[in-house]
Amino acid sequence: MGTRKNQIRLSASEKRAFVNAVIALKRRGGYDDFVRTHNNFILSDQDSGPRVAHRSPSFGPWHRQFLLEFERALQSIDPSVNLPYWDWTTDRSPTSSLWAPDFLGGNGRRSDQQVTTGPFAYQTGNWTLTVRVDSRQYLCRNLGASGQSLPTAAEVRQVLAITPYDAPPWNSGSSGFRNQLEGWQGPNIHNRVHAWIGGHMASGVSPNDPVFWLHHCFVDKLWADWQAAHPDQGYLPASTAGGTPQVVSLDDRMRPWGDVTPRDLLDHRTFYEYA
Amino acid sequence: MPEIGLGGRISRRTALRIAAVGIMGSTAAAVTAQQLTTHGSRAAGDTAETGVTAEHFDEVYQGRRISGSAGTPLDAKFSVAQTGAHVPVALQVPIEPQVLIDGRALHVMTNADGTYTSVVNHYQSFRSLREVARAAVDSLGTATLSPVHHHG
Repeated sequence: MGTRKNQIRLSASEKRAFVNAVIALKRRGGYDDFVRTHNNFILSDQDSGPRVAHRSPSFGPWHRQFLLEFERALQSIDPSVNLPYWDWTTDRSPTSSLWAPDFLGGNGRRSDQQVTTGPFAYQTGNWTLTVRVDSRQYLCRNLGASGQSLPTAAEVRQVLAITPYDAPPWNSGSSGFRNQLEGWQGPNIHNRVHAWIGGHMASGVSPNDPVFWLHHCFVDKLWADWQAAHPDQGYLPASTAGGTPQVVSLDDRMRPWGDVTPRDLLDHRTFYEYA
Repeated sequence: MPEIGLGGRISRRTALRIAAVGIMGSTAAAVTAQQLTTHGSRAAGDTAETGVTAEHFDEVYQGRRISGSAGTPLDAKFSVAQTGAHVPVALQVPIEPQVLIDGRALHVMTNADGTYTSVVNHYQSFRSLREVARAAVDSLGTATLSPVHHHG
């Protein structure tokens, strides 16, 4: 079983292995399938319609499965690789080692937000975007330009204290832990980080930026932390009996996989651990 | 407020609202619509809490032509121009927000609280379509939008 570490504690060789596996997956064509899947759900998940990956209770388990699939794809290339997480409550600087040339590369340049440093810079030839919502083939970032700061540890603590997991109407208007973690209500945790990075991370094709995986790995860890803090609280809705056909209940199968339910994913320790 | 079954092509992808449209003026831009989301909460908007103003704009921002509309009936036979009515007309219509940047469609969706989100700035909420369009231009720079594909 793999161990997912804070990225700040990765060795130089662990960073290199992660980056190389990501680039190899991109070269094989598999990476862009993840980008396409994510954007398809961004476009189709609606507050007043069927919704699976976003603005719905299965935000937690859908992304857990999405990350597992991605991690397994990397491990098919290099079995030593595990997803790292980015704790933006403590690692908040645009000049953090996260953004260094030996890892994810830095901020986009002023003129066009293009990332020009590190392994995911366009001019390396490693990272041409093919799944796009606009004409830009190069990765863009605009760190901090959204005018919002990254979520703080106090804000995370505030959200981790919220119960229940989710609540009617099971969308971006819900109270409950899930929606405040996702960020449509309350202090805004997950959404704000996407917006803080800007560029492609702010868009439906956000997995074009590899930091997507490190951000969502931390969001996944926060869900696990919430579960540990509230052992009497489970995934909701527990069944469709309450009239929730447009969202994924505990034992419903999730698109696009069709063979996995939220219940299958509740205990992350079945698959990996956090260090 | 129960959901109104409108079935069919439009309603599946549309932020379905029930609009009780009062005819307040001679142009569509002057129509004020009290809009309710499918969950019964009042939509947020630019105007007082009693309702939102149907939005239409067409302008040049940062050198880009942006336009947008929301809050008008999609079915032309219900349009203000054609009814010419000066009495309130109760309509039950799906209202799909539309934004164009240099003539290309920006995918926009309506959030549960009546705010808007676009595929370019998907993790932020905006109170008006004009704000959505301007934010997209700020993000895009000189890039052009790609055609919108669902489940592509």
